[in-house]
Amino acid sequence: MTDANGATTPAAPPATPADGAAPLLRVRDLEKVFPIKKGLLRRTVAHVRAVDGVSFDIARGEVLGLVGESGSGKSTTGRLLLRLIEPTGGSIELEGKELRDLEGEDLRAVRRDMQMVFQDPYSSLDPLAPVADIVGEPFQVHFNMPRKERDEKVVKLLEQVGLSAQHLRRFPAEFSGGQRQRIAVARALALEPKLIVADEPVSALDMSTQSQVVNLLSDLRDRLGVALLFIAHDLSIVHHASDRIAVMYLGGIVEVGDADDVYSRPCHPYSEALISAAPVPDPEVERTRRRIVLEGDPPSPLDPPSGCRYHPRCAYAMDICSQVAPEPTPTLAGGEVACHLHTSGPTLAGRPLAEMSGVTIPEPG
Amino acid sequence: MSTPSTPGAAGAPTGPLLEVTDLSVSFTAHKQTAKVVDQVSFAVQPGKTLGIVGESGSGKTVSSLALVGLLPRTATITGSARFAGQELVGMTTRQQREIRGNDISVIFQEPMTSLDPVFTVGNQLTEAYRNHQGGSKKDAMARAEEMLRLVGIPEPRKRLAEYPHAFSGGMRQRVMIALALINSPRLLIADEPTTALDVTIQSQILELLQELQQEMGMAILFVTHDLGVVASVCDEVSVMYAGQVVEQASIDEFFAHPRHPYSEGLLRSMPHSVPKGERLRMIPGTVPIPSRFPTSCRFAGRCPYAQEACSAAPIPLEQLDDGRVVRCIRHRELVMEARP
Ligand SMILES: Nc1ncnc2c1ncn2[C@@H]1O[C@H](COP(=O)(O)OP(=O)(O)OP(=O)(O)O)[C@@H](O)[C@H]1O
Ligand SMILES: Nc1ncnc2c1ncn2[C@@H]1O[C@H](COP(=O)(O)OP(=O)(O)OP(=O)(O)O)[C@@H](O)[C@H]1O
Ligand code: SF4
Ligand code: SF4
Ligand SMILES: [Mg+2]
Ligand SMILES: [Mg+2]
Repeated sequence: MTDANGATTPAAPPATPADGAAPLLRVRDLEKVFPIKKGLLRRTVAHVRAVDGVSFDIARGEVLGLVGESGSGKSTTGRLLLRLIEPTGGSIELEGKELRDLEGEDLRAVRRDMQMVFQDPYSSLDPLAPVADIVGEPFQVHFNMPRKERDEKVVKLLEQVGLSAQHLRRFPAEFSGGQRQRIAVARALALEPKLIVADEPVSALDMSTQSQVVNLLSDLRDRLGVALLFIAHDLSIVHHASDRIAVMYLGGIVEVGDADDVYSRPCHPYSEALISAAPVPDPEVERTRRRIVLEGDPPSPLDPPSGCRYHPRCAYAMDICSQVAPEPTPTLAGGEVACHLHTSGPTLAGRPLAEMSGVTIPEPG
Repeated sequence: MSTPSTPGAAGAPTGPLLEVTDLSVSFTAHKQTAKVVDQVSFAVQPGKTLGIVGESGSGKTVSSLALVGLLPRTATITGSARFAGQELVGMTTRQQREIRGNDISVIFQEPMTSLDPVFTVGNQLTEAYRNHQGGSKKDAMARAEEMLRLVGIPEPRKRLAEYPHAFSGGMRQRVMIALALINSPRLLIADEPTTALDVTIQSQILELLQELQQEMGMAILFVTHDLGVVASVCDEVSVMYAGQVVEQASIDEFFAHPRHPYSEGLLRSMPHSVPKGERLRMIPGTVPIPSRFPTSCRFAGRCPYAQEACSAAPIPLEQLDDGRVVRCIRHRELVMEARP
């Protein structure tokens, strides 16, 4: 990749080993159905298909951005990867090894390679443990490292995320939301994992601290080749931080592709709505443009719409859309999209949706 | 989008609905006192939205919680916060409870810890309504369902019977918003209300807040990190750094010409301002911890324009002729741009 000055930029992931046709992580048809229980007897009265047939790969050192509707199953996908919850279907392979069958010591070993940073920095840190113990816990659990050595390592990690030795003996309650999230990132980095699942790691941070964390994660990727599943709502950050972006809607991926393509030239109507709804930091632009508000109710995962799940809210819906679920098809740019516009009627055949809709993504002036 | 200036509820005096003057908050722990909010002043006009942005840990949440009496006992609050002529600082717990959730509502940053896990969502909504409005359970249930629909929860009637853990992060936040608006407050204090939401829902909620604002003249104190949200819903913005207000301006002026070096650094950190593939800009260094705040400029250690004088004495918050407020001794000579 080259920038405006013709200099090469390090945006492309470090090369996958020549023999490494196999991705670091390979997810196929992943599924999680939650029972909804009610009443005194806690009888199951319904099911939520929180993740419903999700497939994707992550290469070594690649950053895959995951965006989508609130409740579309992004966090559930992340938790499934680490087996914090058990999948009800599908497969997850890390370096060719199926994770679904692992137990005991094997599972523990794999968990060392995959770490998670959670969405909610308030409930994910032990309130009774000082920072030194929270961040140093992995060293103790996995290596039984003595305190002094552990603290030295912890200070290094804290410095990497913009904190310092001053914070070592403090407790989570003494930190703001943003500071707590830095602590969580520091802990995830401790064992230099191969994959970090970061569930909205920067949502609670101010812009400058967001930049620090995103730069930190890209450094880590460059230095250590750690791959990242980056779940976030701020599309400009996801665009900037990711090599590829996957867009989820109601339990399924509707579009995946190169970050620039998905962000600037989306192929799926939901991606277009999502990206063009993001407010831009320019009062003039915000005043003059109409705010995009999706029509219709958000769908219920308890009773998902037939055919394409987006059809009740889609501005382009055709007859076929409520009847048949669209299959993923390749886009011209090398990604995939699941939408009938690309395969039936006046077909887009993988071209960006803008060629038909004329919708442009607003940019700050 | 700017809203026409609507007067507050009938009989309210003109002038700010909320006027905060020299509000300070200290915490005492391990025999050490840390002043985490230091003489913060700002005003919210009826029907208007004041955004508060700033460094993580700069005291935005603590300042907002201090207004409604939700800080732990270890906190000492001084200064004044007048709401519609009534002093909020020093109110009894009972008075605070009376006003909270009724005239002033709060949406918190962390949705999970503010919803009670042992009660259904419907239960919590109807309680909040009946505590202040009375009325029958049935009416309250209908109102609760209406509120859930307004904030975009599908199948609201079914969802009323569920517990918070069965909702996604974003849906819990929408429930929080429904809870905050159920009694049609005059002032809404919203601390990162849309951070957990995808942008299509965010857009819906912002629209909803602005509608309610126009209908009821509700004023909003909007704490957020999202500068896009600030540009889209706020009239004015107040910038906090290390427990102090460092700048206040109308959003147009703020985005075009920030006057404080921290504001400039913040604006330049936006990913929009850097081509993909390049490192994002950021403000180097870290904010000092509250017990070690310098008495002089607190940003000096990270400021690209720092001079000796900056570290010599406390820097006053200056009121400029054009109504802007800045805390920087070099603001007259420096010309700052949001974009490098
Ligand atoms: N333990 C659970 N029991 C029942 N339903 C659940 C449970 N956890 C999640 N769900 C449901 O699964 C769906 C997906 O939730 P998930 O938290 O993965 O969404 P998300 O995409 O991360 O949303 P957000 O952006 O709001 O964080 C939601 O409908 C949610 O209500
Ligand atoms: N209960 C408490 N006891 C001691 N210190 C506290 C307490 N609550 C907050 N603080 C401290 O007060 C300062 C301000 O915190 P606050 O939560 O207001 O920051 P914030 O500006 O809202 O940050 P963020 O953007 O990350 O939410 C921080 O240094 C924090 O560590
Ligand atoms: S398949 Fe039909 S309803 Fe679904 S996104 Fe495409 S056009 Fe819209
Ligand atoms: S007073 Fe000095 S150090 Fe502080 S912000 Fe202004 S120029 Fe920078
Ligand atoms: Mg989530
Ligand atoms: Mg806060």
